[in-house]
Amino acid sequence: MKTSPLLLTPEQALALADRYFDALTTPAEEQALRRFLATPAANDTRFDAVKAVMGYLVVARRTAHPASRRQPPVRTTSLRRVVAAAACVVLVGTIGMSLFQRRNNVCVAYVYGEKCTDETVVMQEMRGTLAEVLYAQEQPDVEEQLTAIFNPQP
Amino acid sequence: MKRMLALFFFALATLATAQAQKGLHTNALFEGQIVPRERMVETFVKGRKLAPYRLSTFRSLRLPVSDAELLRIERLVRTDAATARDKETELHGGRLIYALLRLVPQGETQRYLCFQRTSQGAVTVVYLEGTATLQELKNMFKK
Repeated sequence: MKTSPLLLTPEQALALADRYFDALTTPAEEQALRRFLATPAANDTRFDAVKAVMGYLVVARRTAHPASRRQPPVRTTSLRRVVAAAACVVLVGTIGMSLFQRRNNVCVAYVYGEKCTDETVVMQEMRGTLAEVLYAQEQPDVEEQLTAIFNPQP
Repeated sequence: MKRMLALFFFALATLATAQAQKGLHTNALFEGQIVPRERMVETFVKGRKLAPYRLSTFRSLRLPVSDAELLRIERLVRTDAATARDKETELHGGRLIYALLRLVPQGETQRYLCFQRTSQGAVTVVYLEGTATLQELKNMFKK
């Protein structure tokens, strides 16, 4: 059956609908039928069945308003993305804290270039050094001791 | 090579404290500009290990020195002593053999510099930061 490339008449559309239900329509005929169903001329109960089958409402919007595009679906942030972002924040925070603590807590000695990180040894060295320098002035040196022995003051 | 790398990373690790010591003339000694680091015993403690002593930073050097190096170090210490808030010093034959300096504090943080010359031709230099007073430190580190 020849169909008008522009628009069908109701009679032509009915005939096509019958052929559609018999699976005899060509893709061009189906397209022409869809185009007709989107027009006010298809507001006829005779076309209810074919409208229901052909997804009338969606087709109607597309055909009646060809300039309008389907709106893309609104993206909703999935739970997976939120969890992934939170995990990244925690990971970065943990690494940052670890680096901060490492930089601000140091306990090391270098003995003629040889590194020593034994905290017991390093702290012992620290305590010994401090005891020595803080009390150095109060310790009699060798000269004073010898003077006290050989030239005691009466 | 390994030793050089270790010294390099030590230098990096002490950079933060070097900033705090910035402005001190004796900082040149701590940075190895007077005597090479390979000839020193360096100790660097910072952070939680010092908390019981109310200190935040401890850096010390013990090193044998030549007469020329001793003279340079002495001059550095004397220069820092000139701006110290308090000082205890001891001279022998006009030469500095001991100095205990309380430097200009940084806010609530006290800073101290200690210098000692031993009779064996070695020196000990110590730099401290913390909130402890000198008397408190002496009480804590009694021999």
